[in-house]
Amino acid sequence: MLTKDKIFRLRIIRWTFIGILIRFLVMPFTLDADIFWLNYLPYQLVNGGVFDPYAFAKANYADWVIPMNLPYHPPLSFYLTAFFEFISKSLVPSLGNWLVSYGEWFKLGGGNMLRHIVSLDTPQLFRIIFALKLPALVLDMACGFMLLSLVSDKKNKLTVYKLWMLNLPVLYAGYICGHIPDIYVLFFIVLAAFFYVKRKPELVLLSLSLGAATKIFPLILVLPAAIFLGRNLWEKTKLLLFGIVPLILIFIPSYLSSGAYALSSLLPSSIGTNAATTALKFMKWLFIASYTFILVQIYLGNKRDKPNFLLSDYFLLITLLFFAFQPVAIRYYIWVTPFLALRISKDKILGKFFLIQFFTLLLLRIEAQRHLLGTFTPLNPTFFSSLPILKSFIAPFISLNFIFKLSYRIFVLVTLFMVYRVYKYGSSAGDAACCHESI
Amino acid sequence: MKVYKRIILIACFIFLIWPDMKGEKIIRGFSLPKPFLTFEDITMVKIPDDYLNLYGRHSIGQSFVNKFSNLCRIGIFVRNPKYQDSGDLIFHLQSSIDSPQDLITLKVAAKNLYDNYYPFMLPPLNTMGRGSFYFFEFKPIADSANRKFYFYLESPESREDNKIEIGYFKNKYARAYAEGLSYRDGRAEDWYLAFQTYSSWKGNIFDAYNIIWQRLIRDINFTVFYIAVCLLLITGIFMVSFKLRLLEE
Repeated sequence: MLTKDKIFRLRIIRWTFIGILIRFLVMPFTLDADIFWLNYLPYQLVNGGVFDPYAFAKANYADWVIPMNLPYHPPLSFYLTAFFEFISKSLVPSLGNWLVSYGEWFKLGGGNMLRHIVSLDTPQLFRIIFALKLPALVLDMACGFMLLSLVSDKKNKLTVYKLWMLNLPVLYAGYICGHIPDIYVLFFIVLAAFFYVKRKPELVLLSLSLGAATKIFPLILVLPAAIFLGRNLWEKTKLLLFGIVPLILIFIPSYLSSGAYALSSLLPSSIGTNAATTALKFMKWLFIASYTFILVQIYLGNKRDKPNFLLSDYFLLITLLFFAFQPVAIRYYIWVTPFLALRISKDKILGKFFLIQFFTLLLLRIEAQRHLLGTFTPLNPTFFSSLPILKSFIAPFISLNFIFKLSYRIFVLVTLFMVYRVYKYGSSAGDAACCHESI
Repeated sequence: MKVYKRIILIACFIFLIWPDMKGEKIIRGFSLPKPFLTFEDITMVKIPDDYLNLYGRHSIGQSFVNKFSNLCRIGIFVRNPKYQDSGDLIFHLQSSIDSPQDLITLKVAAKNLYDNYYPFMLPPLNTMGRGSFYFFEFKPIADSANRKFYFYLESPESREDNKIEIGYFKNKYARAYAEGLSYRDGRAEDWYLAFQTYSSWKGNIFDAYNIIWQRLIRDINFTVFYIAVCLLLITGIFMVSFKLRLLEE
């Protein structure tokens, strides 16, 4: 028995090493141009005591941020990034100068990623990029360990952990592109699931609320979680308040300082790609209908004290439906992956469908050089910016517009099929109160 | 197979193959652009704020500073709203607005503007039907790095009712990005033309490798730390695997 435990522990250690190594291989050498702006505003807090990024962006970069109506992500993203920058600053002294020169250069006109890299070149470039991505490593590994505690069966534990260490969307969003705010959301979602297993319903809702204060997405999970976890109307209402009040409290200082403009960070104009899906606008109504259906299901299951599904399966259903009915970028898809990993450990077919989803999401991004080989621009700016990508070979032959439409439709169908699988084979939680060993 | 499953499968198939291409061709001819290895320098892929009318004796131009050597392609956001035959669109590239002669002169029939969805740079899809970038290609200009250029467009055979429209931005960042001015009939204006420039990458794989290596050794402390951590992780993986094998046996 002891040997079995030891083997299990060693396997976990081995996969931890493999996971960290894979992440290390890309961390210092790749980035997306967004990483500059994402880190520049929080640096104003670290360096200049700017507590309101929205007022600062409006005052200094009005021509750029007002037309886009997206000055920055919600306030908690700003504070967390500032916190991590404060720590990184002591490890990488040149970080401050680099971000300050970015601000000055951006005021003069900015440009595409190649110009970012060339204009802001410094001998410590790789060190800086590495430091800016370190929060992703910390939070992502924390997610991996929390997921381990969500599964009771050892074989499934190892499968979930392996899937997490090889999580392609997280590798892409967190380590290749360096979109740390997306990882904050992921962390808070997994934290919510972790607290559920620890039977702390208030903390589940609090985590979702904090997640929504980094990027609004987890807000769609607040209502289902409150209905699922509350045993009566009073409890449901109390939990709902736990899910909404912290978000409001975090927003109040920014709202008092910048007014309604701060709220624009809550409602980005689009969360996805411009992937030729405008013809499918009716799909948002399909999402609202299916979301309502799930809420009713949760309510009825809760009422008879026998939920139809586990909370994680409900979360998976909602997130899958959300992305099925919305144009989606790979980096947003990471929010589905923790629940998907838990489900794939029980239903392997979903893993194959996930790979199809990932491939179609990649095809939806093929028009953007900077999101593919172009992310290696820091290594050799002009060479990696000029390399042909999949699009270079497809586009002369077949209309990219057609590829986008086809990819998106395959994505929708596969996602709906996954929803069907989860709905059909999703296991019942039994008594919600006693399902503390496995979600 | 049950009837409802067949119906679902057929519905899925129709959903997948429904072309919905609004007249755009799905299959194109096959011709790779030359030069093949190119990268964007000045890039503005958003939808232009507005359009300028180009017809008759009017001309619309833009000066810019190219950052890199081997300038080989300039894309300009154009639209031909009524798909009419407006004659030729003529592109002139010069060293400056005062240059007596063109470095490059190219022509394209205005009715063909929409067939040029360039393989490397598709416009944002929500601009479909509202115009797209047309790319003028020429032999790479070797000494184009940090050099000022001026290009202008004219469409002498078109009239006001079959004009060609050229996209522009009012954004001052966009203007600063190009480090140049826009011109209408030779007079400087307060807007910025929606255009892109491309340069080609020249060299071999060893040149590319050398640059990577030089950039790595600039911060030797970090590179050593990075390689050491990677080696430690690899060693750890092998050691744990070895121990696992012993335990499993």
